[in-house]
Amino acid sequence: MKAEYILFGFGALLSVAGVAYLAAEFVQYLSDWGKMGALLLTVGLFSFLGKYFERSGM
Amino acid sequence: MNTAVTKKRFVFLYLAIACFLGILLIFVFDGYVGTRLSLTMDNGRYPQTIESVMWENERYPGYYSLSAERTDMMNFTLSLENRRFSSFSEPVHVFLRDNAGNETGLLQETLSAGAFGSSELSWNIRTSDLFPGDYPESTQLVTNIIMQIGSYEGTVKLFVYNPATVIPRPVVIEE
Repeated sequence: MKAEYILFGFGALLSVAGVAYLAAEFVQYLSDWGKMGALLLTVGLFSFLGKYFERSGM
Repeated sequence: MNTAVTKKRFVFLYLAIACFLGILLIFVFDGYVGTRLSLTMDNGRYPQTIESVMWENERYPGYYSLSAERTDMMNFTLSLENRRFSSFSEPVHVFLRDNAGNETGLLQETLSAGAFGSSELSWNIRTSDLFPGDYPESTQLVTNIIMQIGSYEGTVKLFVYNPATVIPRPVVIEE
C-alpha cells in the first residue's frame, strides 16, 4: 500500500475525530429542537451522499 | 442527456453540502450563541463549578450541594458569558434561607455585560457567622443559598459540619 494512502487515511481519521470531539463538546448545549434538527439533517446528509455516489456509479 | 444526468447527480451533492451547512449553523446559533451562567463555589479546600447547562435542564433538574466546616470562609463567583449580539442586564439577588424559612440577604447587584462580553459577581460566606450562639457543636447545620437572576431561581444546599464530630479520634493502644 502506498505510503500516501496511509497518510491520507490517517489525516482523514484525525479530522473526523476532531470534528466528533468538538460536536460532542457543543451538543450538550443544544436545545431539544436543535438536536432534532441536527439529527434530521445528518440523516439527510448521508442519504443525499449515498444517492450521489449511487448516481456516480460507485 | 449526459449533461442532464450529471447535473441531476450534482444536485444530490449540493443537497448534502446544504445539510452539512445546516448542521454547522444549528451548532453555532443554538449551541454557541446564548448566555452562559456558571457558579463556582470554593470552600477553601476544593472548588466546585455548576454550569448553566445543568441548571437549565428542566427534564433532569439537578440537586446541588456544598459541604463546609465551621471555620471556613467560602467564596462564590457567578460568571456570565454573554454570547449574543445584544447586551445582558439582570438584577441578581442572593440570600440564605434556612429550613424554617428565615432569610438573610447576601448580595443584591446587577449582572450586566455587553454583546459578546463577560462579567462576574462574587460574594463570601463565613460559616461561623451562620451559627446561632447556642447551636450544638455536634449538630450539622443545613441551609439553602438562593440565587435569583432575573426570573430564574437556583438553589444550592449548604451543609456545615464540625469536623471533630466526623473524623474519629485515633485509638491509642497502651502496651
